[in-house]
Amino acid sequence: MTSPREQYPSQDDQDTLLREIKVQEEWLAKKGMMPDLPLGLLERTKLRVEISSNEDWLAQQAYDVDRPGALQAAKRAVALELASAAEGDQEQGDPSAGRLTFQAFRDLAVAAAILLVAGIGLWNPGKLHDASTTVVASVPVLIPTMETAFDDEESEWMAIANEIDALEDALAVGNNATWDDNWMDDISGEIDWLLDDLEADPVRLDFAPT
Amino acid sequence: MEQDQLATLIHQAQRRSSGALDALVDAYGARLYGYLYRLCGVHEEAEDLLQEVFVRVVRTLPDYEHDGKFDGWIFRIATNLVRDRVRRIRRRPSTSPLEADPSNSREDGGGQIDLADHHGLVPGAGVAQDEEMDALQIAIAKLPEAEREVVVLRHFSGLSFARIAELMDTPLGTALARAHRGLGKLREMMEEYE
Repeated sequence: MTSPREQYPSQDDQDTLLREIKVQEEWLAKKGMMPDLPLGLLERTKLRVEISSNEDWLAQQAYDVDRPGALQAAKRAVALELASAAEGDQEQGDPSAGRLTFQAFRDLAVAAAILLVAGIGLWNPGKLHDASTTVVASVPVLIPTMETAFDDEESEWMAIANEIDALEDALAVGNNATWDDNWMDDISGEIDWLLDDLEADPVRLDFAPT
Repeated sequence: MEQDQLATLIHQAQRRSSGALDALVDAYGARLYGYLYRLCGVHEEAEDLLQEVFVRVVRTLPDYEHDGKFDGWIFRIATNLVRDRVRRIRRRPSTSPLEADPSNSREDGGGQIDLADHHGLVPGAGVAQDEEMDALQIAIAKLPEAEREVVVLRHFSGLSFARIAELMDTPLGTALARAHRGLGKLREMMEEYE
C-alpha cells in the first residue's frame, strides 16, 4: 500500500526526494548508464529532459543496434494502418457498400413473385391463371415504389413491407373464393421469412452491389 | 522538436499525412523503442510493441486534442501496451524470459519481469560495456513494476515528474517516491554486481 506520506508529501519531503534522486542519477551518469543531466534539471519546475540529449545518449547505447530496423518496421505498420483506414473510409463513403442495391432487390422481388405464382400453381392449379395475373399486375406497381423507397433509407423497409402486404391482399382478394388458410399462411410465412432475412442481413443473401 | 513544429506535425498527421506520421516515428520512435525495450527486455517484443504504439497513434490521433502534452500522450499509449502485455503474460503459464512474477502486488510495484536468465542483450557491444549493460538491464528488470516504470519513463520520455505522475494517475509524491526507491534499488543492485 502507498503510505499517506507518499501520497501527500510535504514540500520538504519532495525537495528531499528530489535531492536524493539527483544524487543517484548523477551517480548513474558517471557510470555511463544514464544521461549526463545538467544540474538543476531535476528541480520540480525544470524536470523536462531535453529530447536531443536523450537521443544522443540512446544513439550511443549498444542496444540501439536494432533501432533503425525497428523504426522502419514501425513506419511500415503505419503505412499499412493508413491503407486500411483509407479502405475503410472508401467503404463508408460508398452508399452502395454493404447494402442491397435496388437492382438486386428488384431481382429478388421478381423471384418472390415467381415463388408466389409457383406456390399457387402447386397448391391450387385451378387458380394459377388468376394468381399469376394478379402478381404480374402487382409487380410493375411494386417496383417503382421500391425504387422510391430505396432513396429514403429510413422508410425503405417499411415501404417494402407495405407493398408486399398489399400484394398479399391482392392475391387474397383475387382468390378469395377458394383460398386455403393454411396455404395462405405458408405464402405469408415465406414472405415474412424473406423480409426478416433481408432486414437482418441483406448481404448474407449474396446480392452483390451493382 | 519545437512545440509549434510539433503542433503542425500533429495537425498534418491527424489528416493522415504519411510524411507527418513518419516524422513522428522519427521523432519519438527511438525513445519509445528504448523505453519499451527497457521495460520488456527483449528486442523482438520491443519492436512489436513499437509498431503497435504507432498503429494506435494512427487510429486515435484524429480524436487527440493537442494541448502541448503529446509526449505524455504517446508514452501513455506505450505504457498501457506494456501493462496489457504483462497482464497477458501473468494469465498464462510461461517459462519464457518474459515470465512475470505474480507474487508482487501492483502497489509493491509487482509484476516484475524476470530477465535474469535472458541472454543476448546488448548485441554488438564491447565486452566491458556489454557486461555492464547486461547487468543494468537485469537490474532494471528486477525493479518492481511501478518503480521500473517511473525510472525508465523518466529517462526515456524526458517528462517532468509532474507529468509522469499525471500519466500514471498517481499523486506527484508517489511518482517521486517510486523514482527514489527505484533508483536506490538500482544503485544497490549495481554495487552488488560490482
